[in-house]
Amino acid sequence: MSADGARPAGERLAPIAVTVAVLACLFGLGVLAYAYHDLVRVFPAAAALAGFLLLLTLGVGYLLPRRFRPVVAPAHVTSLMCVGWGMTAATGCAIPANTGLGGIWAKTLGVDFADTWGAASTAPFNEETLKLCGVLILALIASRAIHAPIDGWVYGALVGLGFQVMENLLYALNTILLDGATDPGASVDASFVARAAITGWGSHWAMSAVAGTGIGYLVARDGRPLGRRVAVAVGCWMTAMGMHWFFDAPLPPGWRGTVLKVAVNLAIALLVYRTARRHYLARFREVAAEEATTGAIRPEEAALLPHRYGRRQARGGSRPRPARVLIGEIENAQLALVAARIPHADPQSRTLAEGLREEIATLRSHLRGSRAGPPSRPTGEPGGPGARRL
Amino acid sequence: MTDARIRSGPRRARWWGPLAVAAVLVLLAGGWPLIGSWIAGDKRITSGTVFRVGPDEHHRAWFRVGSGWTLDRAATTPSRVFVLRHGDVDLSIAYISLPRAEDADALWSGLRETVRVGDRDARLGPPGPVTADAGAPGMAGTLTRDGDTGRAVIYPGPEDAFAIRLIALAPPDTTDPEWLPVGDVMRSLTFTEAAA
Repeated sequence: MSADGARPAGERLAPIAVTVAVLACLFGLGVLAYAYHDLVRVFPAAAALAGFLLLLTLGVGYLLPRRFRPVVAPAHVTSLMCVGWGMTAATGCAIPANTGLGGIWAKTLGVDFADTWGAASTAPFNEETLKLCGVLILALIASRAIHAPIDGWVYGALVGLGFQVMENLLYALNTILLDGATDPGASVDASFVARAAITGWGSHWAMSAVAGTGIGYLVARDGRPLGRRVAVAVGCWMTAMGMHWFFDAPLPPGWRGTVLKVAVNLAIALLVYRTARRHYLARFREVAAEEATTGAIRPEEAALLPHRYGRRQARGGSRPRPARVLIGEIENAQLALVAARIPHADPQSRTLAEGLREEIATLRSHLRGSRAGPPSRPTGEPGGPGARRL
Repeated sequence: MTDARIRSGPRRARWWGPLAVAAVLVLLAGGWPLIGSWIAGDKRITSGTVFRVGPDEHHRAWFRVGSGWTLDRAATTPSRVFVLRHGDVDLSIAYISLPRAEDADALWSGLRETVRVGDRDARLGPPGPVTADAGAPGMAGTLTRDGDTGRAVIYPGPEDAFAIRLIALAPPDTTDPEWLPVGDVMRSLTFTEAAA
């Protein structure tokens, strides 16, 4: 697999789930366009600046969670699906949902309560649920995209990222009005600095990563009892809501409170990541070691396989291009083999694994053939940097 | 290469799973507004009530309302904006944050742009001087927006750290007596609690 992302899953898509996802994204986009097109019309330069800053934060933010995925980054198509859900469906649905629930608090508990506690009483439930739906719909569209809780963490972070960058844009546009449109460009800049550079480290991506981990635990075919998987998923969702509540609550006040909130949310997200990563890598190494007995993954390959750099080194050196391509294909098949066997209770795992082992054997024989042919035998091999016996 | 992930989703969840997700979206995006619409939003205000608008103790202003006013609770956020109604007249009193004191010079031109959001044909007249009952100087002008006519007033706060913007709009045939209570509220604005 290439270092910049796994291949698209290529599985048969669930038509109902795809339809729901497309309609939800279109609805969300429509709500956003309806609510903000006038602001963009009146303040085109500031809106363009906000759009540029959105792309900037999106670009940086897109790289991080995908790079955090151990072994190999998720496919771009599923990653972008998650970002798209966060930017459109989740954000667009959150506007009427938050307005509606916020209005209920103001009408029933008073405007002072709604002003102080409205955000903390409204956004955690609405927004964490809407973002979580993005990971759920991905699991329903492409069930094989989520092998383990760590995949839920990554996809959850990407949904949260999409939500976060779109919310940054909307807040920036709102800030223009809150500042009386006295200096629209400065309002956009100040809003982005506060939301992207300061609070952005412990905001939506972190909350959704935690909630997404629960979905990863729920849908990974690990043979655990359904009740336990549901309990963990609900627990992660509630933890995410708790993080969101803490983030939106008026306590502790001031900039120290803001820094504390960001730090706590970041710490929780990284703690969950560390646990999910450790669990995933342990299982990965276990499967890779087991495959040594079948010959599909040799012990020295098993040591390199989890590491992007190790795989790149193995493909590198002074080999001719056909050999490098074949080694890459063997690595891809080995990664797919391990991925297929990582779920403990996947009924199709055995069939898939057998096919992949045969494929690896065939590729190895092709590689041996390419080395035997006269001009293609590389100099300095074996024994060069990162060289492997394949 | 065979991809180990090539297969369809969980058979049992193929139809009810997506529909459950759709139901959640509909319930959240449509359910809360629907429930909210069943609860009355307007609350009658006792004559002589003093309201405080602004986010903290250093950025606040006070205003007094007379009889016959209602408060739109769903649209009101005391730290930012109050939305009041008296007959056919809608009155909003909004806190404007000013990141820099020199931004106060652009308050009227900023308002001219702001009122165009939602109505590209909105027209704001030139500003004239106005003084609140407690002495706060401000600027006022006529406003036409969404077919309604009215008046906009801006009072810059102490040291130009913030400003309060009041906008009153009503159908063109609204009579002068109906406008009188609006003028009373607009002039009641003060930046000192003692004067409220």
